[in-house]
Amino acid sequence: MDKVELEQLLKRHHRDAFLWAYQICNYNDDDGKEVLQMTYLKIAEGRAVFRDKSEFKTWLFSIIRNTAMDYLKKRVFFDDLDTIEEKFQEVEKIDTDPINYRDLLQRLSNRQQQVLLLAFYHDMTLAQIADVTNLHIGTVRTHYERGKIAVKALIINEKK
Amino acid sequence: MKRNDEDVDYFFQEIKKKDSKKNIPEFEDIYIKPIRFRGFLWAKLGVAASFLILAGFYLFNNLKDKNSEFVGIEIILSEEKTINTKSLINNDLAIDTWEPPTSSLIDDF
Repeated sequence: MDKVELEQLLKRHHRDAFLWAYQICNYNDDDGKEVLQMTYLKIAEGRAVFRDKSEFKTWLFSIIRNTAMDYLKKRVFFDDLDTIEEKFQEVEKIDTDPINYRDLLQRLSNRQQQVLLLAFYHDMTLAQIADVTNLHIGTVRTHYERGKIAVKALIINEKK
Repeated sequence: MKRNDEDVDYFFQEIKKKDSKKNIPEFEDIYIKPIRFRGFLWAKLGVAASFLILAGFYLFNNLKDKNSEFVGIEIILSEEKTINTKSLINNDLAIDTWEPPTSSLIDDF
């Protein structure tokens, strides 16, 4: 695959890739951007090579996930005043919504969140999710089933 | 992937609906093309060459300063004829008048 073709593919999946990076970075825009930029750089420099073993989107999502995991481990949390203010405004927004689905989703474990997001938001199969998350398909299925039960319970609780 | 989870589907559709209003940064703003290796190599060579030239100038100037401190023998050659007839050879130490300082030791008593 030449560079032009690779760039076109990245461009085509850019929106989904950004949203995945953003979701995996706990819905932080700046972290999402940073992770996506690091991912693109890895690909452009040839440190991550697509070898047609899986779908391009699956491959891209797995690199984003691995990059985000490394990034979040190394990252030192430092909330400056602006961020605190942003969060405060966000909380205010949340309070005005009848049901905040994203907030509900964050009550699930990280693995369950990732599996359900990949399945229901990014329309991936369990096999593709196993590729992205580096988990055995059986483990993915367990997270998927338990996650669904947890989400249903959360929805029922919220509606009460 | 077929699923019979309408409520879970609805849950994620609601998240998607919210995200549809979200500003996504442009691809060009995030995708940075890496510096091409060849260009990078030439840049490296250029910097190395500049350092070598500077080091050369520095060493050359240092040697020049050291040489200027050395006082050498100056030889001046002149084509002018001299009118001085006096011999330039000093006769004080002529071999026929020279006596070894130990000659007294071989005198007979």
